[in-house]
Amino acid sequence: MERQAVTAWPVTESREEDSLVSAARGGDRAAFGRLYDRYARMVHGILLARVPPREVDDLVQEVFLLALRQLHSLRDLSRFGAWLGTITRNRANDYFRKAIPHEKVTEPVSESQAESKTANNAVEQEAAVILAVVRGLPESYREPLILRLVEGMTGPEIATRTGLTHGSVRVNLCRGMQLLREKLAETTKGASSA
Amino acid sequence: MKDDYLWDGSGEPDREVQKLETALGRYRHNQLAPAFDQVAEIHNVKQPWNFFIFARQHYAG
Repeated sequence: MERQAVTAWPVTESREEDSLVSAARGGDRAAFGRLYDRYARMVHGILLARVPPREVDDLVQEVFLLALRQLHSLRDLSRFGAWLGTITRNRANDYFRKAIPHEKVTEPVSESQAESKTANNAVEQEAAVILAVVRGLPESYREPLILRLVEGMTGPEIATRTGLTHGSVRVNLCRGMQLLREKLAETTKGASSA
Repeated sequence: MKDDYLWDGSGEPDREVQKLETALGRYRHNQLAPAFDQVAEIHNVKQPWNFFIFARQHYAG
């Protein structure tokens, strides 16, 4: 995929990151820890878009351990983020190969109800319902929306970390947000008429 | 631009986006990095999951 110029992230940061990846590949665990600090939110968000929230924290650690073990196979150091994203999505897919059927993310309503059972108050329940609606959106929308709304990443940061173009991230954020507004309005309307 | 706030947090704040950020922020990643410097020592152990057991004990304690 074509990679646009990144204005919000200076070249020095890119070079610094390449150095971190190179050092980590050479066995520098502190460098790998710094990569974790930079990419943990991305990995967490990608997983949260796909697997039940209660599973995400453990899977984040699994993904980074997998990445540490496979780092030697990364050819282009500048593609670390995209490479890590692929590992993360594959791990999420593996989760469903091993999980029982009813935990599929494609059943947002039932999952919403399940998550709501553990919610202690109305605010938490509302958050669980919103998250379930986001997770019910098409994949191309839910991932950038979760990175933006949950993880607090900006659009340029999402593009830089995931290796996607600014244009595609912006389009998916805007279209996804538009669809999310519609779905939330439907949910609210359905709840009030019930 | 209309979606500037959604894009990078600049421009006039979008109240609905802000509301969603507040509601969903509770799911945000907040874990410290595991002790990667310990991975090398147990990397060749037959049970790699020991790493996670170690990490949990390390941060639980």
